[in-house]
Amino acid sequence: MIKLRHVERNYPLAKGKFFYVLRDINLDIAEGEFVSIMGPSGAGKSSLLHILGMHDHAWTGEYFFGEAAVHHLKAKERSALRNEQIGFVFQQYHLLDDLTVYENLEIPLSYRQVSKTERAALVADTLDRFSIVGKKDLYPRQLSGGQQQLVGVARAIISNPKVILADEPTGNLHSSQGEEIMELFRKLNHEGTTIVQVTHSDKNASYGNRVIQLRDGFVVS
Amino acid sequence: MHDLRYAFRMLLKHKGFAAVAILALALGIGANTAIFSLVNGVLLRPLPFPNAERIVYFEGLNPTAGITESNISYPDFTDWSRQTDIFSSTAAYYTSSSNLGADGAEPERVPRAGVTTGFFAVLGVQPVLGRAFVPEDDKPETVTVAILSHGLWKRRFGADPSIVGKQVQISGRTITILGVMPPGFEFPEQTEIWMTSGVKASEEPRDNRSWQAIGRLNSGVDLKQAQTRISAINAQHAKEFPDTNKGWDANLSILHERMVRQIKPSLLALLGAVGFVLLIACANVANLLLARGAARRKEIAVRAAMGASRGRVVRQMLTESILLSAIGGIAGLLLSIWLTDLLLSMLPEGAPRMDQVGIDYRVLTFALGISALTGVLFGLAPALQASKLDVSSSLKEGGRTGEGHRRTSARSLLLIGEVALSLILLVGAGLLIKSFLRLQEVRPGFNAHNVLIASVALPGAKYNEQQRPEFFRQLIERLQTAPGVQAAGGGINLPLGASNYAIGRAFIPEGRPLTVDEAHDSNFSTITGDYFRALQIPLLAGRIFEQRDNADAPKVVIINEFAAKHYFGSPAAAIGKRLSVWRDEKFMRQIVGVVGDTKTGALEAESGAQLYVPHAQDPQWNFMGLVVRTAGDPAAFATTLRREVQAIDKDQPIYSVRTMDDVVMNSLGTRRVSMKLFAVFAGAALLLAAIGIYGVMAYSVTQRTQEIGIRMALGAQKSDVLQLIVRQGMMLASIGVVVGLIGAFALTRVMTSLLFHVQAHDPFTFAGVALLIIFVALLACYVPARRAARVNPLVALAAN
Repeated sequence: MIKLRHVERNYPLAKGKFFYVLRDINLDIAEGEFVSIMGPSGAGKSSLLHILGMHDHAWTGEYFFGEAAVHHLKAKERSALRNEQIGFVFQQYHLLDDLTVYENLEIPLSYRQVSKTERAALVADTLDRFSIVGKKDLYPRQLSGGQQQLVGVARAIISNPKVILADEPTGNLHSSQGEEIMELFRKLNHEGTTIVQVTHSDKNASYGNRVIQLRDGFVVS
Repeated sequence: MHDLRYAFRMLLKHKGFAAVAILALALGIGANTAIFSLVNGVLLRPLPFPNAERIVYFEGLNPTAGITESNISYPDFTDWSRQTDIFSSTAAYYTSSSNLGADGAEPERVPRAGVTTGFFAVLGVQPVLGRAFVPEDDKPETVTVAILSHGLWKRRFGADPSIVGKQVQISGRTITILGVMPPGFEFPEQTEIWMTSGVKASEEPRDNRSWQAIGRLNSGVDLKQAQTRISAINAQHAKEFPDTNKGWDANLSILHERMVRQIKPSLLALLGAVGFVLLIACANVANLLLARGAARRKEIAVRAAMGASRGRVVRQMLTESILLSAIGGIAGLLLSIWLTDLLLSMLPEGAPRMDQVGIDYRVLTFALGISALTGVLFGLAPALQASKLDVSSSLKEGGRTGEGHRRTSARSLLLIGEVALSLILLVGAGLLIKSFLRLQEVRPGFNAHNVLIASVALPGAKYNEQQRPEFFRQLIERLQTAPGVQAAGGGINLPLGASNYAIGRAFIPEGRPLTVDEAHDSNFSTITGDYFRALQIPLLAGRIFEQRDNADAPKVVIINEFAAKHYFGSPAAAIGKRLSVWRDEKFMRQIVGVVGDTKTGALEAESGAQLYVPHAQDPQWNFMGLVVRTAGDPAAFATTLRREVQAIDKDQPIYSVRTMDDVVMNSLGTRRVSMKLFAVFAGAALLLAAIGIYGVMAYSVTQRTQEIGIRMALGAQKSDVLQLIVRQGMMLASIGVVVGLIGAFALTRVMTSLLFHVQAHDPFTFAGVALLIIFVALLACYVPARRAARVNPLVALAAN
């Protein structure tokens, strides 16, 4: 489903030199996989995740998402593909503070031209599915960290993406809350969603079926 | 002291911020101080007379005839003066001008006043050399003594210390100088020579309302008591002398109030406008401070953690803002000196009390006061916000510049206020501009281009009634043959008050009884030469005056279209009809022509009925406003004009030489200045508001970078982000527009007296200004919105 060939990402330094954060990445992720990207800080994990999530396009190499050759897509096509296929979960949850839980869930749908009635139905279903109906009118600051991340995950899957990209999704949570989130990911994976997570935790990685180790920008295993 | 030192250090550290804030404040305070110095000089500074608040001015009014600002008659004045329990002294006077010359120097026309004996006593000012008039000096129909102004004494007589008792030639008469007034005394209207009135009280008719009068109230008597008494006397007059006094009363007002009555609304409106500009500048600086406050959260949190109380934090922040405003105030005060000179140079000639305008203790206090006030005004909100900081969260955030809801609300409120205030100012400016344009569209009834005017007043002692028309006939003949002259003529009463003389006379069409009740008011002029052709006033029916209309010929008159239509049906119907100029002339004049209406007073006033008679048939007038139409630049003809006058009489000066275009321009003077200043202030307000909106939105974008990043990560397109930011800005601007429209609706009512043919609530102006503000706000939002749309979600998310 995801295929990277010779992908490299660098940042320019002084005097015409470059600093490479990712080198010659070749990677295949099949549909339905639960992959964990691991490695020490600065290894390039988050950079890789953002390339996969099509937020970053200043890279070289080839990237195929299903049938689409991402490296040939224009910005608009790339974002259309991302909106349709990918959901994000962030370590800091990144819920919008001034919106209620309901409105936060509605945001990705509003950017996908989903009609108002359909949006309402989808949000209601998701609230039900994550058992957070009672919290729909609360603001993020009124929720615990675990609850906020729960909303974060709910927001990621509300538009029914094929892939969820999660950047240290339990990094800011108590272990029990972390487990709940990981169980949720496992469940989503079992239901068919491909999951790619960046994590430092072996325990979290154990929820997946494959680990990709990065070191100094190279895939080492 | 520590706070002050730290405040200085902070300003030096953030030079860009300090420069912008000080510039905005200097402009605001400078403009306010300049306008206040006008208000102070004209409205607040008392007249330079002892107990000036007790000096009152008498003004005739006849509500049934719609007359509100009339002079008064001498017999009425005499009756009022007898109320010695009310007035300690009274005086009647008239203003005119006299030829001062025949002493070898170039003859000169100087403004003079003919005054009754009590004049200087009412004002409480005595000559510095010689003496004031005593009753024995004021002999009926004989004027032999005069008092000079300090300026004239220095300029014309070289400050001769032995001037008292010397004789000079004034308008062909030998006059003895009795004294010299103190420097700066020139009441009324820049008078340079005061002469006795020469009034023959027994022959003054009650309906000759050509006098002005002042009185000094006794201590313990107030204006209301005086008014009641005078009105009671007038009511009695109306019964006793119905022919002349029916419907007439007199309005008493404090002299100072009367002098500034016309200019006061403009000045107050300008003071309000410039105050709004300062408020907008304050809002901008407050917004800058709020933004900086957000950036200084960590510093303040550390201070609080170190034990600084809330009051201490507020003090520190206020010290900084007051320091800013003090520097802005000093810069503003310096700027105001230049601005005041600029304002004075823009004002039309004849604006009252301009010599009193300058920097005095009141202006200094005002500048100091508004500086301190602005410092507190724009500093208080940011200081209070800063002091409400949550210390632990601010420290934990490591100085991240996240914004609280309250801070955002404060900034939004300031922005709404800015937009509302600028809208009000723009509506005010729009209404004035529209009035001005309407006024410029008014057709004065004559063609002012290429016309030179000048006044000539022949000395009564030198030219008798037979000689006067002959002098002007000769002069006009010479002028008409001068190269470049297309037409020349003269009239005692030129359009737009250009000859500084206006006389109203009633007339009665033939076949009516000669009573005042049947008389129609008209504007009267005696004319000579080719007057109508020189001013290009169109002839609508009949003919203009010819050589044959001399003293021995049948008496003739030309009327204007208004009179012809109102009293005779049409111009054609009026020809051949006869009328009598009431009371003065006991004979009939035949209407031989009908000409177009001209604006006799102000452009905004209605024309009304106008009568013209030939000078040869009304030779009492010794002065004439000359009108010369030239082929080229009329101003260049002034020398020839003077030469031609002096070729007939070498001692005869001409005065008030100017082009008719200048007269038209000057008639719009106060309006033009008000409109320009209002427009400048409104423009400044709009610019400040645009900067304010831009600043708030740009700051908001910086603060919302992470949020924008998240939205983009969740699928938002550039257009979504653009919309998000523009919508936020436009929401605030729209609220500002609504508030502003309500404010403008309430406030423009006070401008009614400044408007001409425009309603205070003119919907087109309101809508146009609202659209303009929305457009400017859209532009101001668009720039930061575009920046927001370019946010890289990667960077935004990584920044967290």
